[in-house]
Amino acid sequence: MTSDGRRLGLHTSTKLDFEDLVALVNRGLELSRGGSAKSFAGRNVILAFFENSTRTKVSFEVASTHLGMTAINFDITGSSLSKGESVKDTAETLASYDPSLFVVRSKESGLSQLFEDWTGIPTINAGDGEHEHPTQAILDITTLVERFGSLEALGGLRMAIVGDVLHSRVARSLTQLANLCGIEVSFLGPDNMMPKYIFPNVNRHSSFEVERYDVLYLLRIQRERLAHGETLEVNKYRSRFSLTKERAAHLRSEQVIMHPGPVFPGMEIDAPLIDATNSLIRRQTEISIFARMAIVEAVLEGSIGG
Amino acid sequence: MAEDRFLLKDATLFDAIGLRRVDIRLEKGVVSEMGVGLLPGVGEEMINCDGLLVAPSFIDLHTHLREPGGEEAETFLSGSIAAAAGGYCRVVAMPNTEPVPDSLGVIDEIRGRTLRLPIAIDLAASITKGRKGGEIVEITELTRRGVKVFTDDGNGVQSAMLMRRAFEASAASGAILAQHCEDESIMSGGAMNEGEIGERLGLKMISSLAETIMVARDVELCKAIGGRLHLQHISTSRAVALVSEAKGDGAFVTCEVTPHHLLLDESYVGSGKSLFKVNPPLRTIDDVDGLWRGVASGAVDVIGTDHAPHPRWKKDLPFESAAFGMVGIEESLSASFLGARRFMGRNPGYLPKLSVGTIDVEELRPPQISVEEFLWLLKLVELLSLGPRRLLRLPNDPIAEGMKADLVVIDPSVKRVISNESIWSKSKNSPYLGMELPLAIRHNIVNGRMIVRDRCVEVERYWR
Ligand SMILES: [Zn+2]
Repeated sequence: MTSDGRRLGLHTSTKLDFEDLVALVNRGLELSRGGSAKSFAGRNVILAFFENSTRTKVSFEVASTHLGMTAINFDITGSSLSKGESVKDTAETLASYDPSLFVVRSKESGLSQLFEDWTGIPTINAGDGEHEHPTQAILDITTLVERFGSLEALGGLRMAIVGDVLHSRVARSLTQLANLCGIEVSFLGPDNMMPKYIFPNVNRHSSFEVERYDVLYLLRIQRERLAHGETLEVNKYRSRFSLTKERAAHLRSEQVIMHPGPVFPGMEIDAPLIDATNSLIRRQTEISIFARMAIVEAVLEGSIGG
Repeated sequence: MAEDRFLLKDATLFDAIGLRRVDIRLEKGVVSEMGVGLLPGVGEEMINCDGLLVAPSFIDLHTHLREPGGEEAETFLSGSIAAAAGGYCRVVAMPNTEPVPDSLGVIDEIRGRTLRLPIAIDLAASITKGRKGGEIVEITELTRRGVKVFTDDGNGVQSAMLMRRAFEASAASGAILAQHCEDESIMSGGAMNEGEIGERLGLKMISSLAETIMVARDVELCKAIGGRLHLQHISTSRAVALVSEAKGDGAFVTCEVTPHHLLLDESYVGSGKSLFKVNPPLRTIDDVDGLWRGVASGAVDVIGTDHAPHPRWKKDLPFESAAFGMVGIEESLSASFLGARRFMGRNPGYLPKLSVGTIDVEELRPPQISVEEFLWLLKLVELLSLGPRRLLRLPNDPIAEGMKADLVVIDPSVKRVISNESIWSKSKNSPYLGMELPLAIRHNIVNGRMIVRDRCVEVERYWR
């Protein structure tokens, strides 16, 4: 929210309450079942991606097109952000095209909030550094509700978030929303990939016993994100935390596998499992369009924000 | 230029002698008479100081003036105008400039640019050549040529062996080794304090160990070898404890804290605003309280501003890309005093130990503030004014007849909201923008000239 009380964009899932989530999830599912979209014809959204992500960008592009908007792609990847002089200038220049909405993705934490502060234009965070990725978490919850029948049905589910939780913006946003739904989250991964200070009440499990969880949420292992001095031994990681064929052999039919993508087959998950009957990975991608339509509608109508 | 002639009437004066009510006459820049009931002479300007606090003007051991090389952010002139507005008469300029003052030749050249400024500038020399941490400068020779403070500030000296050599030179020459306490091997590219807030924001973090490890190392070196160690911008309670212990052991160790570490804690970074990015980072509220306890006990010797101007484009960036540092030399007393008030709120009844007598505090207190607040205000003046003079072994404290007048007049009754327009510094990267701060520097007389009059620097009169 702005100092004058207007609600603007979506930067962090910590600002969403349960009612916000109910509204977004229900609307996303309604749209996925063919419900008619609102029309924002004649309005522009600028997708300012300072970090490559084809899938997220395409998802927002399609979502905003379904809403009648014109999506303008603005890609600045790599070094231009670190040079720095132009980031604020860039935001102000883009704002002069009078978009109704920014969607911002960046390698650095906090840029979507800065875009909004600098321009006053509502901005949706499509992933900022190691901070948050709230739209991913919303689409994940939406996918789970579709599978389990209702938001209430998620209460009491046990979810394992497996991998580099510390450096994962997805894990932060998802844990926040999972807590809102009463899902019991456990973090699994090597010690140096576990948060030290946040989510003190979330379980930490050091071994991956798949039968203990209803939802197996696997994170992409981003080796480049590991700080200096920390080493990752791939084989050791795989033997402890990957969803291998052996580990998945005894999955019950109601257990589900999720992944925010892009998947690194053979690393965090064995390739054949991506399309297993337990897997919601493809469905997450499909639902992402409708969840993001619901988010864009809500932001443009001023009914969520944070 | 003719020197000003003034009579400071009914001043509440605070200096090394203590607190007293006195009139002060200034002629030709010199204190010509002190007493009670003095009458203004012909052509003398009378300055009514009733209800105002007068002290020796402040001295900053830690100012980044950016000249030479960084004039886009600050110059000797713009920085000394800002310092004058903050109540200062002298600052020690940090050597992270281009070129680095690491030899007599460079120092003489830079000194040539520091004459005829509103205030006095002491150049600190670097400890290592080019501040590269590889080879030590000629400390003894430079000390003989008037350099008092040596520091690689911006970075700490990483090599214990080099610091050992530097302490040997300090023991022989009396040079002050001012250390930016940060072990880079454990700081690892962080941007804010390590803890819950930093982790939640997804920022790379700086452990307080980066500070305490170097403090502990240098204290040990100082104890073993001798010489003078000054620890810059201490920001953790643990560092304060290490300093207290070292002082108890008789080591020649002094330390400074900054106004921003006394007022602000890491929660300010929660806004994501790069204006709060500084090194050492804003710490926890427990650390802030630890610094205040160190101030109260005497473990902390001086307030150093670490005034660090940056042009807008270095701050209008996401937190991790933005430059470290904040301006603040204009608000050092006000920000510290607001910090003291907040500390008092958290720790009612906790009072500072003053190094001079305070018997008349009740009677001489300005009416706008409580006795407790007045004690803290005097303590802050001690750290801004008296402490640095002791450290640099400068005269002009106590105020006495026959001395060049460096006097600051503090108005305890004022509140100000900080804005871009209120800042004299060339750079506006102030963490206090939009904040209401208490107190103001009403006048500042430096070397006998009133260069700040009614909160306005007399730039036109002297330097344009
Ligand atoms: Zn420093």
